[in-house]
Amino acid sequence: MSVAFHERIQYALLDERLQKALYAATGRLMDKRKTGVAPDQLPDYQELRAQAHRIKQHTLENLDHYLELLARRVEDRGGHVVWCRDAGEVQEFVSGLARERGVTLAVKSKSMTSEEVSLNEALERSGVEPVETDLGEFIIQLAGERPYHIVAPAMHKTRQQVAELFCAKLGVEREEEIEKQTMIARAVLRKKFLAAGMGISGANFLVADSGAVVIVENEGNARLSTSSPRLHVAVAGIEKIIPRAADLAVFLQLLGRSATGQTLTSYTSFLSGPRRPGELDGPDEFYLVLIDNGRSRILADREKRQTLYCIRCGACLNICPVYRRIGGYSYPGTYSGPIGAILTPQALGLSHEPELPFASSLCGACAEVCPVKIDLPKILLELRSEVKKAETRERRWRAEKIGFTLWAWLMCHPRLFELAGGAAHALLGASGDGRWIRSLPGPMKAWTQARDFPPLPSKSFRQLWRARRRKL
Amino acid sequence: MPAREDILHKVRTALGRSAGPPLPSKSFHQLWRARRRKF
Repeated sequence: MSVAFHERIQYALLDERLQKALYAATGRLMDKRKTGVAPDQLPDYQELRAQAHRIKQHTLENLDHYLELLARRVEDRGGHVVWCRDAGEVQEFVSGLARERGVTLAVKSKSMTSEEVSLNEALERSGVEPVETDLGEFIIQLAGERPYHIVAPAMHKTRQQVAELFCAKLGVEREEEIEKQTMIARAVLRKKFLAAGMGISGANFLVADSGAVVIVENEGNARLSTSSPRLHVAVAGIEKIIPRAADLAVFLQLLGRSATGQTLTSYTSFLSGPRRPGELDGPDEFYLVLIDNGRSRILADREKRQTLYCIRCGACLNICPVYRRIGGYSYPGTYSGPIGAILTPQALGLSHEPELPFASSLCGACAEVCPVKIDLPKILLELRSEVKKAETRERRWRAEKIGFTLWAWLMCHPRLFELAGGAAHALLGASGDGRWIRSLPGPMKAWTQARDFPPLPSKSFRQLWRARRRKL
Repeated sequence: MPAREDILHKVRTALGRSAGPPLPSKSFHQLWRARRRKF
């Protein structure tokens, strides 16, 4: 585990206020999800999960076909499709377009993909002010932080902290009531919506057969961001495609319930290109930016391809016993929790984030709640295996390898094994408080730095066996 | 290679059905004949 990762975890664990807030917030989301998918609410939940898995599997196995179909449909409706290989190309295109059109203010609806490619930073460098309009995103933008959770980006902030932040950054009176804080944000954002020359959104789904961008949300800010400015840019990963609008009947039932326990989110927008003659709302120009950024590399692995099935509901984060303790900022990269632990190392390369696949207890809870049935523990294990193989090739962990070779040799020699057991008992028998050994000697000390070791029994299995045989 | 073709090529390669690089606009024989005409 790298020092930085370890330090971030320690920092989160030592923050009592954060621990309480995190545990309570994830617990609430978990309870709501549980109610939302209960058999009396959604009797065919398991069938829907299986169907969602099959649709994603089919789409990704034919991704080239659906990408071309989607691009044709978007262009048929007067939109433009821009293909970007990496974050740099996205930044270059969106900043360039803003400059070309004389845009100085851009309103943004919540988009993890835009976070992934650091779009806000690129826009700021180009002299464009990006304004996050989702309330949670608005709060963390003011705080100069990154999203803490896929669905609830400001989950770690208390209302007192938000009051202080609004006071300092917006110059308003201190207000701790959440409804009033929302009204303050609303007043600021309304002016921004009206003045913005560009609206930037993500996409929850891209419907190939109609060329529609589907966005689900609860605040109405995505609808305003995409319809009020004269220019709309939707930024989406290539894996967001689904074949038909009819498939949304499966995904929309699963997404809201898995994310927040809602039967359906408050707003579901279907956006198909720019405003047509006779239409009252909508942008003059529409651009769909399709991003690879490592996704085609993930697609190449038949087993781990499932990572791209993710619909970003955040259910795996809420139930993960590791995420619930270490929180979102302990994870490097944009995506946290179990999905981040498999997505980030694959997209950026295992050498970039080798410790991430180990940030899991492998309890399997994430796979149980995943609405598209991604086998997260299996992918985590495969990634761990790849990390270890790479480390062996690089001749790291030589001591560990020698240790396990000696252990294997000892296990094949019963007499020596018994002698070694006796020696270990002589060495460790007296240590500990009778229930646990708190500190092991020598190189084994690292093991007890974060956990206790069970005491050695007074008699070994062989001694007990011999005694039993003598009795009979 | 333009980004569109590059991404689609990567996707097809990942799915194991890459058709290989695009065919050249002229065949070897056409190029050879053009070269002979020059001399």
